[in-house]
Amino acid sequence: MKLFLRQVRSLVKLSFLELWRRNDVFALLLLGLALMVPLSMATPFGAAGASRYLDEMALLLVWGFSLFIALGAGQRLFPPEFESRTIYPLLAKPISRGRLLVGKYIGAVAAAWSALAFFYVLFVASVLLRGGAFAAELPQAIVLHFAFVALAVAVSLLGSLLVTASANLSLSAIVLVGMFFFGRQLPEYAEGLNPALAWVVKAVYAVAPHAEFFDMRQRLVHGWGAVDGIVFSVVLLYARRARSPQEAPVRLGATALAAAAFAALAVPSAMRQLRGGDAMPQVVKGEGALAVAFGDARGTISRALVHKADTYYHGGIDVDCDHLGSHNHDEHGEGDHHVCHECEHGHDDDLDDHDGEHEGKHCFSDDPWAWINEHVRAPEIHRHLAGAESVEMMPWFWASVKADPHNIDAWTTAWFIADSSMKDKALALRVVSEGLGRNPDDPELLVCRGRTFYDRGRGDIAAARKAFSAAVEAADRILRAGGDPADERIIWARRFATAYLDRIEKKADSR
Amino acid sequence: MKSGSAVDIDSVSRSFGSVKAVDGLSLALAPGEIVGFLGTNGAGKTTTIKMTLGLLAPTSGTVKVLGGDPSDPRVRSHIGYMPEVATYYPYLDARELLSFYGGICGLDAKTVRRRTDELLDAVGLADAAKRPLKTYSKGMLQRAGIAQALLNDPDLLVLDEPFTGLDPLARIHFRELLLDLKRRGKTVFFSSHELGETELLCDRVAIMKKGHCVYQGPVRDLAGDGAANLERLFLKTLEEAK
Repeated sequence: MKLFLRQVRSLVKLSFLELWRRNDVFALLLLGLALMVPLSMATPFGAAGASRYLDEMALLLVWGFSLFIALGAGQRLFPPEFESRTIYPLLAKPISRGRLLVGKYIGAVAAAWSALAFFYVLFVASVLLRGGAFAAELPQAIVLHFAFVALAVAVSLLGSLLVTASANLSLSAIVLVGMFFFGRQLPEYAEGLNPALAWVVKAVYAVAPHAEFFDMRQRLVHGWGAVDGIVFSVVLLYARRARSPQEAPVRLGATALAAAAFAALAVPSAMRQLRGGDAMPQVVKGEGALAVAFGDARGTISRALVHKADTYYHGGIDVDCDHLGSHNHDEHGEGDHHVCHECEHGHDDDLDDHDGEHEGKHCFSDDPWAWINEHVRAPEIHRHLAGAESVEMMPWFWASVKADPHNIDAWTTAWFIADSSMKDKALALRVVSEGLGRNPDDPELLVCRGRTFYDRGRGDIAAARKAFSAAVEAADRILRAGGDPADERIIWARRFATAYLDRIEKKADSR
Repeated sequence: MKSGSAVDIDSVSRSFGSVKAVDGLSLALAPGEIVGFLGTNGAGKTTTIKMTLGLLAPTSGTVKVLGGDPSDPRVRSHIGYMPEVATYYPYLDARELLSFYGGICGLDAKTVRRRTDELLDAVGLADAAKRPLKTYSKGMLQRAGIAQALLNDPDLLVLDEPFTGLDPLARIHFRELLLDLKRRGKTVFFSSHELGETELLCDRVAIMKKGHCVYQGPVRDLAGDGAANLERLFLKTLEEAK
């Protein structure tokens, strides 16, 4: 035992020195600072006070960096030893191959953990410097993240023994990131596939390493509270099992199946994109660097960012994501307001919270993975942002309109939140003004401006009338210029502006 | 097995697919003996060395080292090995490298420090001990390799092309080091293409060709036999084995 401990200590020290002397950690730190410092200084639409997006971005970086470090640490355990031929003097020493494997693994995990601890210290310091505080979920989130790193090192180590270095890094990253983002959705994907492919996807779901179990970022960002102790223990137990060398062949099979499944899912989709000429990213002349970089993808990114804001509105819950078994649109009452533009047009209700306990769909014996996801990745209580707290959505709207300044949904929804939820008329007018700056004479934005001025009949009626009139004129101008007369946006804007103008005239007549 | 042999290789063969790298090799090394292992490239020297270290298992035959199976870590704790050319961990310095290998050998920190000081001095790396290994020349890396092989004060030292990259002065020092080990009763088994060094150092040589041992015997006998030097013997032996 004494010999083994000395050997492990030496291997830990080797991994530790290599990691820190390679300067990877410091390079990542610089990258993180380069991203986070400008973000922390940003005041979207001039609205100060949003901090959750900073926590989320910082945690995303910590997770990304930890994955990079873990995969690198696992990858570097054996291939470089063979390349530099140091494996031979090492194996000629009094250490068995099993002990060397275990010792190397422990060393890589310890080194990766040291880097992760460093990043978390910086994260905690940055939150404290911004005057933030941490709740009970932080220790749990850190422990699960450490377990994830141990799992990532194991996946990378296993791959390094079987495939080439570059293939291993790509494959390990695809498996872990793929499972991280899509792992819990695999049963849904399987439903739409032919039986053979569905079986493959279900097999992958059953045995591939579920990286997503360890992700408590949303809990931290949105303050959902700690995970139940039993669930937490089950996830740790899973991490322990997943690292077991005896399961290596199963994991390998899962890795291959995952690659096949992702290929099966991705290739047809990519081919459809490639065949459809109109769907290809296109650059509009004079649209600037973002247009050149992203083409039509800007719209997709922009809409995704509005969706992100919607998730913030729901306290971190993705209401379109049904597979957590925790929530969906159907659970909303009639009086609820979604940030989604479709709902906004339909009704103009107050932003009432509709707190309620989530009822889990899955039980452990039916689908243990779904059960874990349901408990780790969904809150017990669904709360909406309201009042001044709604400022947390603003950075995402801001990012959305930066990605695509012509995403009118993003402008109008940001306006709606500022005007109706935050009751900040100045902010609402600033949003609309910026929007009109990028989309001159847009009827919808003019209606929004008019509504803020109108302020339920208590505001600047003359300015409101001017804005509503401009909206009607703009809508007519668009229609005269060959605009689609069935375009709901134009119809809606015109109808709304006309109704408000009628209301203003009636009020003036009654006086 | 011959009792008391430091190394006893008995009718050993090793194949890689259809290629027989070593074919029916038998070789015994007595304690305190220096044996040179000669042969052209691909003759089977490195394969034999790897079997001696337990890194490869023979396809047939047996290899005993210091009376035990070299695949047993306890047996390997008495063996020192230096590979032909190794690029040791570039982010470590020589002292850290020896500390690392010392830990793998299970040596305590005090012993590692003492042996590190002794060996860095012996191989002439004391002045460069704090420099990262990535800044070392080939010869310096070779010296670091010699130091790590001697760290656990082994009873058997196995060296693969130990003179590669060493300058003349370093060769003299290294030769003295090996002769000192011999005086202390240690066994040295090394492969080399440096016939001059081999002649100066070895008690015996074994010459390999295409997996077969075509000659083994004392160097002094041969030199005194009228053969001008080992180089002539080497060429003659290979010629006769055609």
